[in-house]
Amino acid sequence: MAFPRDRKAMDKNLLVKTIQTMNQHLPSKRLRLTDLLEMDKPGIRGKDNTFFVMDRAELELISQSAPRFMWSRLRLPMLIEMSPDLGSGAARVQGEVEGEVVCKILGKERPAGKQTIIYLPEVRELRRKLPTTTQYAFVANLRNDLED
Amino acid sequence: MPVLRLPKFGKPVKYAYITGRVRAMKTKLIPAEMYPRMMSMEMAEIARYLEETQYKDEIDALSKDYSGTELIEHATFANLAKTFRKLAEVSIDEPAFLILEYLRRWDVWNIKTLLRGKHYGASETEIMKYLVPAGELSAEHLDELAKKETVQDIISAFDGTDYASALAQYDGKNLAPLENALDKLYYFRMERSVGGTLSVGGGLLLKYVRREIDIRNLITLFRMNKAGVDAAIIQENLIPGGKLHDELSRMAGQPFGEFLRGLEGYPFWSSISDIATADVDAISRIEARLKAYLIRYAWALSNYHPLSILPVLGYMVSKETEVANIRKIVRGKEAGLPAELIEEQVVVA
Amino acid sequence: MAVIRGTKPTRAVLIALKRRMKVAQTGHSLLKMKRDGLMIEFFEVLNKAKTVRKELVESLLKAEQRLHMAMAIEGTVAINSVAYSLQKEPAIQLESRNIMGVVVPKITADAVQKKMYERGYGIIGTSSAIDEAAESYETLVDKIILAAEVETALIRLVEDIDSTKRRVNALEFKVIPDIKDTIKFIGMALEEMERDNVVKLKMLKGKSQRRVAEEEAKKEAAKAAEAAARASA
Repeated sequence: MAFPRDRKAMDKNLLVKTIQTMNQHLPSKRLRLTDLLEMDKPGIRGKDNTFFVMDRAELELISQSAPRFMWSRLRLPMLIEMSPDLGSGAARVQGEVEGEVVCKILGKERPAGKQTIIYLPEVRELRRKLPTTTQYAFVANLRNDLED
Repeated sequence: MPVLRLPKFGKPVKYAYITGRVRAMKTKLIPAEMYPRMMSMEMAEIARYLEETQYKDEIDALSKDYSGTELIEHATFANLAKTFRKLAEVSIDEPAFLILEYLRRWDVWNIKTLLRGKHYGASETEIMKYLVPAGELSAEHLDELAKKETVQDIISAFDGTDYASALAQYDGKNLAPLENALDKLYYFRMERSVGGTLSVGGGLLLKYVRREIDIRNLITLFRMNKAGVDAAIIQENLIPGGKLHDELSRMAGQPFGEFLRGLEGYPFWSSISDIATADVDAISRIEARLKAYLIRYAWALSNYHPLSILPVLGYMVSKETEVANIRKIVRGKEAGLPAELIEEQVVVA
Repeated sequence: MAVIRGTKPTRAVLIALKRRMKVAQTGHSLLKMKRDGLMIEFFEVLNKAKTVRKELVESLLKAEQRLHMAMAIEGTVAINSVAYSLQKEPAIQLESRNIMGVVVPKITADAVQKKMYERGYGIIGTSSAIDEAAESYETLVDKIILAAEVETALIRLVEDIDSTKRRVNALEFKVIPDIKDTIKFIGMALEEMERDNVVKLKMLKGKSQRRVAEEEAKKEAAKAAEAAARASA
């Protein structure tokens, strides 16, 4: 196999492309809970242009789990980030409000800081309770991995 | 509502003959203990058993064209029509008049069947299978009507009769208002004509008819209250008249539990108290019990007045129930329904 | 050992390959995560599908029983007529839900459950058996819609799990081992060349030493010859 000069860039592009396809379903901009609650038919459009609905009952559940002043800071769908950095048994939820909601729903103590780590059984439970207002996102740290 | 012209009966009415006939016919009814046995029989066995009863002629006559369920369904309706016609033929004067008034319910049934059949384009033979010429409309007349093309043709065939006003309710799409109007008309007529006769028997029949209206309304309340329908709509579906009409119409639209509590203390309560709970799954079970109650009521009344229209009425109600029971068992068996389910629906007084 | 064909065993290629290895491993673990996530979703839906199927069969049986009862009481003409009287047909709305790029349908139906007086038959003259038949068929339609939703989701998920799994396996059992092997091969080839060089150097060194020794010996010999000549002379 020939190795062209820009091999480094090409390998990186390949990975970027893969991650992009894997996250194709995510919306380019997440919507605020307050806006979603006002919508006639709550839902959001993904980057692949598919519209997906959000269940009103779930939105209610979320709004019960977070104090009112946080509603405008909470953006949906919440992202369950899966990354090779964390290993295969864990996922991460970023953001203070999101962490608050997730922990409240899972019934666990919220760790301090901006990110919350949840483990696979919890992911399963979270997805069972909030199937339309959470999404998986795949994240990889390209810089660390590729610079040697 | 149409104005009724009632006949006048001058002479004191003789019931001895007709009640004697009915007493003899009553012994031929299928005894209650036969129903569980029929449920464990094969279809052919049931047909054979029915051949040993009053259904023999019909089974014999029809068995060359039909078999199985079809044969039995056909034979039972044919026998019902024949029996009732005979009753009307052998009676005179007031009993004849009262019997015919009662049998008009089969006219209503036939008119409904004709309209329903035409409504969805059923074939003539299909419709004729369900016609029971037991009332005023003769078999020939009904056959003629069954040959008509559309619902509208049948409705115009009844122009000038008492049914015209009820049939005018047809809106071209939905038969429901028309069906309700026909039933209401039947009971209206019944109450008027029976109440119009001044004999003791007429008064007693009126007592029964009022009870029947109450029970029918009660069934409607059970059905619609359970489904949570608005009071105003339920009240439209109640038959006017009846002894308890005011009390029952107040129950319309009540929450089911409250409605049930309100029924305690009525004479029919004891016959449904064990199954009428808030979580009852099938109103038809309650309906079967209430119908059984009605038959018992008719016979109880007739015991006090053996020489009146009441034994005849008791017989007619029992006969209708018997036919319905046979049909339920046969249909149920054919569909492979579990015996308990059929048993719940069979009405045993 | 499956070495990528046409690879030149050079140090530059080795570095490129090592970089590639990291990309492949990152991709692999990401895809594995996706697969695990899909599996979670799949079992979730599978459980639902099982119960929905069971309920579907149950309500179908019940509906048939009720229908037969109603037919026995009212006659088939009445039942058929009721069936044809339906004014409002249930409208189905298709929406979608997205699980990791797998689009699964979300079906909602309007007007399946009808009010009793909207079904097109007179209440007074009919038996409650007909209500029960109609009701149980309405429940059945609801269950069918739910089953359609859940089972379609199941099929879509299986398809996606399958293709993700293929990619994971390709990476795990082909791409990554190949790169590993090639790296090993290049490493060995480079070591081999190293050893070659050492030997060559050693030989060169030996040769030059010998030449030096010879020259010295010659010099010595010449010197000795000179000295001998001088002595004899």
